[in-house]
Order: sequence, then structure tokens, then C-alpha cells
Amino acid sequence: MISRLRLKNFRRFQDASISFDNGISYIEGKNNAGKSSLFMGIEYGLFGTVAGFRSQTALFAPQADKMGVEVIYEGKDGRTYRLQRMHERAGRSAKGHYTLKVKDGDTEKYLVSSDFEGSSEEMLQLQVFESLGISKRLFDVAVNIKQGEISSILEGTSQLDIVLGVSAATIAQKQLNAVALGFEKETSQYDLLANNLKQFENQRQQLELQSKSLGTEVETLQKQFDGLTSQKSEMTAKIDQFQQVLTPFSSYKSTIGNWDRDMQRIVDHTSQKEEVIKEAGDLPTLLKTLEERQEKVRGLTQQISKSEEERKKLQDSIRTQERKKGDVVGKVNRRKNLPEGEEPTCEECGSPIDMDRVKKELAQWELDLGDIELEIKKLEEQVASLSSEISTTRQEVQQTNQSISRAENLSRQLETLQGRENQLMKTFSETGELLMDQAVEIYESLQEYNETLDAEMRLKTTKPSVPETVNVDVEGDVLQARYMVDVFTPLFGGEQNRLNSERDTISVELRVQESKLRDKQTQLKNLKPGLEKLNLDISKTKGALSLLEKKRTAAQEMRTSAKVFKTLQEILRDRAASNLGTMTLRYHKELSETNNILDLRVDPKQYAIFVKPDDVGEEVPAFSYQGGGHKLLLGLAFKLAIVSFVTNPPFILLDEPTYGLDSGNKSNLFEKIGNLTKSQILLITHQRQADTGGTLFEIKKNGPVSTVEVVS
Amino acid sequence: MPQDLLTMSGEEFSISNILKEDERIQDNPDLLEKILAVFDFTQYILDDDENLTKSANLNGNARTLLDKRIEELFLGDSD
Repeated sequence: MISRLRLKNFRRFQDASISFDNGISYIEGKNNAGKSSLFMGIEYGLFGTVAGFRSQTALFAPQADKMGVEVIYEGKDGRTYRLQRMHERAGRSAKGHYTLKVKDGDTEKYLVSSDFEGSSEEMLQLQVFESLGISKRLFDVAVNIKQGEISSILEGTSQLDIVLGVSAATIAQKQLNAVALGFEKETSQYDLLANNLKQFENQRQQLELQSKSLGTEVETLQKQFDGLTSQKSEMTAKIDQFQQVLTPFSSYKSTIGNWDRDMQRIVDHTSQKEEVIKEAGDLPTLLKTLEERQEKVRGLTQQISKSEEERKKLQDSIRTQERKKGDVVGKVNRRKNLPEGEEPTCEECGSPIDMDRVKKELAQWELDLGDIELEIKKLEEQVASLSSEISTTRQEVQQTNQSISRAENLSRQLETLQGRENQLMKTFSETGELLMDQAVEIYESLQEYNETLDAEMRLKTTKPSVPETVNVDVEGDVLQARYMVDVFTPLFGGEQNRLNSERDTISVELRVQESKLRDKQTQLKNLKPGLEKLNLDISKTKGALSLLEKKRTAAQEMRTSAKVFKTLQEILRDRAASNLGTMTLRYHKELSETNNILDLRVDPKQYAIFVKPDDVGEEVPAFSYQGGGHKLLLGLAFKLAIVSFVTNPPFILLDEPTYGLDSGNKSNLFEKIGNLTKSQILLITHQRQADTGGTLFEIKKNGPVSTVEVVS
Repeated sequence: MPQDLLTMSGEEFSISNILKEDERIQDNPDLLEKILAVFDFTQYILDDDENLTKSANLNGNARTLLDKRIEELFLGDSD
């Protein structure tokens, strides 16, 4: 049932709300007050369009840019639904929005909305149909009963075929036959395809046999190949083992080479050292000589110092004598060169002296001068002798120093040679130790080698004797090492070469085998595309055959179904006509005050009503024979019969059903119509003639606007 | 309210019940199901005026839809 309707800017209503109860509601109002607009509002709300209006813009209130309707209804499931729909102007047309919600406890849940992505009007209609049980067509044919269309239904309506399902059965029959015919044409190719399949399967069988044979060959060749690969790996492992034994030998040979080189260096060095020793003696002798010479130099140096000191003294004495000589010469010169008239005086006390004394003094002084000069000469001779001596000694010192310098050079040379010798000996010793270590390594390697290959008879005869220990006597060990290298290297090398040769033979065989294997594998691989194509063809053909079989079966079923639908049409028409006839007559009896129809029949082809009035006594077409009021009652009865027959709608809209009825029939209709159906009835009328229960609403016209009021 | 009239809109007129009476499909519930599905789909198409021509026949698009649905129903999932 519709519990509430709200119209906003819808035709004459600015914003009107009406709450309906179950049962019957009367809507009264003057002409053009907007009564039918309420039903239009319901129709627009539920289906988005209104019959007779090409565009929603015609439903807008004057000057309104948008309009909307809200319908709250109780669905078949007993739940409350709120359907809101609105349109707003968009240029010349209008753009619509809608929302359908269902009450879920205290909240409302969205079912569909134009705001949701993927929503559509079809989805909304489906939801409305599922919740209300009314399609737009049923609404048009039976639920929305309009005064002007009530009587005309007596002539029959093709719409009823649609509502009753007759049209569906007719169209289904036709289309089933059409599809079946198409399938039957396709299945005519079945035999040709079946023959193709047989050929494909024969070809596949041959290819599979060929493939199986090649597969076996490939498997055998693969095993042989794997066996040879394994043999080659074993050979390689043995060769590697020999290589492991030979690798230390190689290092050992290298070390022996180093040892020889070191030895030669030592020999060369020793020769050089011996030459130095030959020239200067050995280092201790040289050092002793050096010390002696240094001592000599020290002695000579002291001697020079002493002589120089003595010479200095002599030179001082010479200078003393020279001063004495000067004094005496001075005194003589003063006596001889005495100015005239001046008396001679004593040189010491200044007292005048006589000439004799002067003469005596001069003579004495002359003697003194001779002695002094003699003394000077003697001293000068001594100085010269000493100077000569000093010079000789200095020469000797210089010579000794030169010999010391040379000795020092030789000493340093000897020291350097000694250091070099130490270094060479150290290297030599280290090389020797390395030689020993490697000898031990070789020894251990040989031990392992012997243990590994002991079982091989051929090697037993030439098994090398391995030294138990390795001497640190380098010279001897080197000899032994040389022997080991010389003996074992060719032995192992020979074995390695033999193994290499054997491996090469296997490699050649392996390449041959691999070539055969690849050849067969290629042949096998080349078979695959053909086999795959055949499998694909077989699969496709089988699929096509399977589909054709299905289509053949489907076509048979469709033909059967088409026949069933043909029968269904007849049954639907007959039963509907029969039931609608009976029901229409019963409804008419309830609605009509006079009840003058003896019998009534619905024509199953057109659904036209034929009646047998009591005043005629024979069947006549209702539409052409009956008067206006009777036609209205009959039409209404037929409409009610249809709506009850097809479904029990939650509500029925009756727009002016009493228009044209006389007062008796009008009163009767008002009295009884509420009891004729379980559906909620919303009835538009100009004026009720009596209080027949239900709710009364009045639409009031106020200029261009209408309002709704609850009267009782 | 005449109760006998109201009951007539129920089981007797049910398409399913009518079809069940047809001997050709009585032992073939699978086919019955397909026929009902074809009927429902056809009815669904007919309920929308946009699928109809002026003479109340199916237009080309609606006929294609119905043919496709028939093929789906009778061929199963191997369309």
C-alpha cells in the first residue's frame, strides 16, 4: 500500500504531503483542482513517466526549475520503501534523479540510486516490480483505472494479451520456431563434419605411431649419450687427479730453479769477496793495520805539535835578540850622531860621561851586536831545521791518512759483501725450506696417488717408490727432488696423456651419439606441430559436432516448446476469458444496483464483453448495446476482474469511477467498492454521496496553487 | 468481499501450473524450466513499450535479445 505521497513543484502542488491508510481513501475536489495530479504523481514516482506526457517538463509547476515526488509504500515483503524521484530542467528537456531506500530497523538502506555508478532506470523498475508486484503495463491496464478508459475496455484490449501472458506465449512460440529453424539448418552439416573427424583421427593415429617409435629411439640414444657423458666425466676426474699430483711437481721444479739461481749468486758473490780479501786481507787483519796506522798518525801529529811549539819558542828568542840588537844599534846611533855641543850622558842614569867611556861603550856595544847577530843566526838555523822536520812529518801523516782511507773503504766493501752474503744465504736457506715443504707435499700427494690407484694393475708395476722422509740436507734433497721430478713427471704425464687420449676417444663417440640424438629429437619435434594441429582440428571438430548435437537436441526441444506455447496461448485465452467473464459478472452484480445482466461472456480473441441482458434475452456486445452508466459499471467490474485475476495489487487507483452513474448506482458503488478487494483503494470523485467510511481528502484550489486537506 | 472471486487470481491461472499439465513436458522438468524462463524473459521484454513496434510486435533489437536468450537457455553454457 501507498502510505505517503509528497509532491513538490509538481503541477499545481508547491509542496503537498498526503498520508494514506489501508482501505479506501477518497480524494475530492473541484474541476481542475489537481485531483488527477495526485495519481500522476504516484505514476511518475513509481515509473518516471506519466501516460500522455511525452516529457517530464510538462509536469513542472509553473516557473519551477525542478520538481520531485516521494512515494513511501509498504512492499509485498511487509517492509517500508521510500522512493524519491526528481527532475530538473536541462535546456529544453529535463534531467532525472532517483533513489529507492528500504527501511532496515531504525535506518534506511539504499537499494538503488542514480548517484551510484552502474545504476539504471531498469534496475529501479526491477526493484519496484519486485517490491510492489506491479509493472508499468499492469499499472496502465488494471491498477490505474481512469474514468475515460473504463467503458472502452468492453470492446476488448490487445494490452490484456500482454498482461495475461498470451502475447509472450505467442512471441515465444514464433521465436522458438525461428531459432530452431536456424539450428536445424546448421545441423545439416553434421555428417560432413563427422567424416572430417574420422579422417583427422586416422591421421593422428599414424602420427602417434611414428612419434612413439621415434620416442623409443630417442630414449635409447639418450641413455647411450648419458652413459658416455658419465664415462667422460670419470675420465676428466682421473685426469684432474693426475693434474693435482703434477701441480706440486711444477712448483717444485720452479723452486729448484730458484735454488740453482740462488746458488749461482752465492758463488758469484764469494768470488767477488775473495778478490777483495786478496787485495786487503781479511777484515780483521785490515782492521788491525788500520788501527796501527791511526796510532802512527796520532804520534806524528803530536810530534808536529811539539816541533811547532819549539819553533815558536826559537822564533820568540829571535825576536828577543832582534829587540836587543835594536837597542844596541839605537845606543850606538845616538852616540855617533850626538849633536854638536851636546854632552854624552849615561844611557842608564843620564849622568854626563866622558868620551872614553863613550868609546869603550861603543866598542862594547859593537861586540854585543856581533854576539846578538850570531845568536840570531844560530836560532834561525834551528827554526829552519824544525820547519823542515815538521814538513816531513806532515807529509808522512798525509800518506798514512790516505792509506787509512783506503783501508776504511775496503773495510766497508767487505762489510757490504758480508751483508749481501748473509742475505743470499738467508734466501738460499728459505728456498731450501720451501723445497722441503714442497717435497713433503709431493710425498703426501704421492701417498694419496698410490692409495687411490693401488688397485689398478697396470700402475702397480710402475708404482713409484716414495721417500719415507725428506732430508733437510738441502744439497742432497735437491738431488732427490730432481730425481723425483725427473722420474715421476714423465710417469704421471704419460698416464695423464693416456687418459686424455681415452677421453678424446669418448668425446668423439659422444659427438657422434649426440648428433644422432639431436637428429632423432628434431624428427620427433617436427612431428609435434602436425600432431598439435591435428589435435586442434579434432578438438575443434568435436566441439563443433558437440555443438551441433546440442543444437539438434535444442532444436527438437524448441519445436516441442513452441507447440507447448501454442497450446498455452489457447489455454490462457480460454481460461482467462472464462474466469474474467465469471468474475466480471460477479463484480457487476455487486456494483450494480439493478443487476439486469443474466449472463456474461468474454471473447477469448479480443477480450470483448458480450452480455445477455434480461430485457433482450440473447447475447449482445456490451459496448454497443449498453447505456453509458451500465457500460461504466460493466467496465469497472471488468477492470476489477482483470486486476484481481492477474494479481492482487497493493493498491488500485480509481479516477472518477462514478462519473455518469445515477445516484442509486453511485451510492451502491461507494458502499460496496471498498469491500470488493483487499487492495488499498485511492478514489477520486467530485462528491461522495454518503459517508461510506474511509478517509476523505480535499484538494483545494487557491489561484494557480492547490493544497490538500484531510477532511475526515 | 466475494472470497471465491479473489482466489481465482492464484494457482489456477499460474503459468507454471498450466504448463505442468502439458503431457509433452510432464516428464521433462528441465524443459519446463527452460520454457518458463523463455516465457518470463518474453514477458519482461513485452512489459517495456520501447521494445515494441506500433503494432505491438517486438522490434529488431528485442527480437535479437530474445533469440540470444533462447539460445543460451537451450544450449546451456556452450554458446
